Amino acid sequence: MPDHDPNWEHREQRFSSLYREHYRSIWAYAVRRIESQADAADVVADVFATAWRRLPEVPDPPADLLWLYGVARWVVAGKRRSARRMRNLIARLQATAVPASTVTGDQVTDRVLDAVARLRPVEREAIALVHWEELSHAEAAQVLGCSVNAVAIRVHRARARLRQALAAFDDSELAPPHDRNESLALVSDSTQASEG
Amino acid sequence: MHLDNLLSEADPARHAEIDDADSHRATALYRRIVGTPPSRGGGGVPAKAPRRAAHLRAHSRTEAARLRPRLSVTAAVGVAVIVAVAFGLVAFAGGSGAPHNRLADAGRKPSTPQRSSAHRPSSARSRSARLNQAGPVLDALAAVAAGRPPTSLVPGPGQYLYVLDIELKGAPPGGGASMPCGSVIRQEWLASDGSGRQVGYSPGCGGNENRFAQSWKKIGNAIDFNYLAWQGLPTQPAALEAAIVQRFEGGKANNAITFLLATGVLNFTAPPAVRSALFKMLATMPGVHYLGKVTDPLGRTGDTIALNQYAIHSQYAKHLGNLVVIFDPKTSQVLDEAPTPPRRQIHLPRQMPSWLAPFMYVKAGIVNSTKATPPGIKKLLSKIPYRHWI
Repeated sequence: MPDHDPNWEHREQRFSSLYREHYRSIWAYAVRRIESQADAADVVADVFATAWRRLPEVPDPPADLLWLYGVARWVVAGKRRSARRMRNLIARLQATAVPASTVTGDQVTDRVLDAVARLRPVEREAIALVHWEELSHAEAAQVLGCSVNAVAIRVHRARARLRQALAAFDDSELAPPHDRNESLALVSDSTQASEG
Repeated sequence: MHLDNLLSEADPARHAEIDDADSHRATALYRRIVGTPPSRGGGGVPAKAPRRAAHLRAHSRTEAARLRPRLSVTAAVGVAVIVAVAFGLVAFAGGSGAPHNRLADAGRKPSTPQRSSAHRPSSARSRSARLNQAGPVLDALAAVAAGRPPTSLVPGPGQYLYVLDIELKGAPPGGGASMPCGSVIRQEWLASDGSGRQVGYSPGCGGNENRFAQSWKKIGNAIDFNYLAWQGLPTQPAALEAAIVQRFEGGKANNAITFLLATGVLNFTAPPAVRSALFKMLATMPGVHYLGKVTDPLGRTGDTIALNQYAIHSQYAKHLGNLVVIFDPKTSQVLDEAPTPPRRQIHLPRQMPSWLAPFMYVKAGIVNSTKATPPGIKKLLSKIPYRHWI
């Protein structure tokens, strides 16, 4: 019985530590790559269920988080085969018919995420790991299975593409609404003044 | 423009509700995996890396509670697959024929590794010359698909799509009746507006049983069952492939995506002529392999088709190994699907190995309420080895 099995206790203790340490990190990883919260929850569940089953293979900290990210990558990819991904595929197909002007929410965020989504997959994953998961290039290389140089190149290229894609932004778009209104008011005042 | 600031602001995790490891949802998930609540000893409360913690916001209990039910509903919203299963009235008892000398490729030299995002060159060679190793089997499936009657599982007003599926976290050795912990067996009822109901069971790793049942209203946009991805697709394999690449892959052929579409949503929803063309298209796709006949844990025997995509040689990322789909040779419908562990060459024994984690499609049909089941479901359930979970 698990209650009297020292191996079980050791295993459970180690898993508990792993779970508590990285639960939020894996959640964040999932929501950055999966549109639906429900699907992200499923990814988290699958990642930790895998970790539980393969606990002896999980490396010691700090590599354990990288191991979990590696599993998460696999789980996210696997979701493409799943019902949720299929459903999302149809949803995306439907979404293509929706005019961009109807998109709600933060326009700046939407445009940045759209630019990120348009990156090549390897570049997108590299910049996500480095910028959002805050991994070093060496750590990202471990997760991605490539050289550190390759990560650096991918991140460099991704940043270049993003700069190009987001070049249309001007400072007024990035300013808070209140500031933007003030700017507009100043422009209006100056226009009136010049007209007067 | 400050790119770093833009990226930080746009970080989806900043706008998502992510609760702590001590939250109710996290505890419930832990209990589901391990079978017991998280122990307070050992790891204790994590000392989260400050740089990462700075990214994550505190989240309300209300939101966590709102999301909690969806954790166990996840598969419920799987409409398309559900449609998929549709054809499936898969007769699993007794499988689809006697097992034979599976592993057609056993002992063969491994094929050329598939590169990621492999771009397929158009070839002027004859189709027969381009048939891949799985070509003959896929051609046979194409012939079966062409002769199947058109089926529709689109729920109308007041109707629900019923699906019974089993998601195993590894097949029990020898086809036994024990489910590995974390596995899920579920029945779902889904309306065309996305509302529905789900009941299911999942054995915990501590010997506990997790039973869940929930209903939900429309989630997100209504699902247009009439919008099926196959509409307008040609029935000539080469033209079909070009259309898929153009429509779904942005003009750049990617074997993995093509394979997923051809064995997934397109295969499930398309009319017979398109389905037949999908199989013929797969028969010429690089990297597609026939792994022989395999009997799944439900006793169903099918032809196993895989796409190898082991382009990455990382200790971790090599998990992106193979996509495996098992087809019923009598109906051409998908019986099981499963991503596989990283193995350059898979050798499947006749009985599905325990390391494979199949998603088994069992039954689908249209019913008139969230409590009704298709005709014959009770008899079907009685034949499932895991019936004690139903």
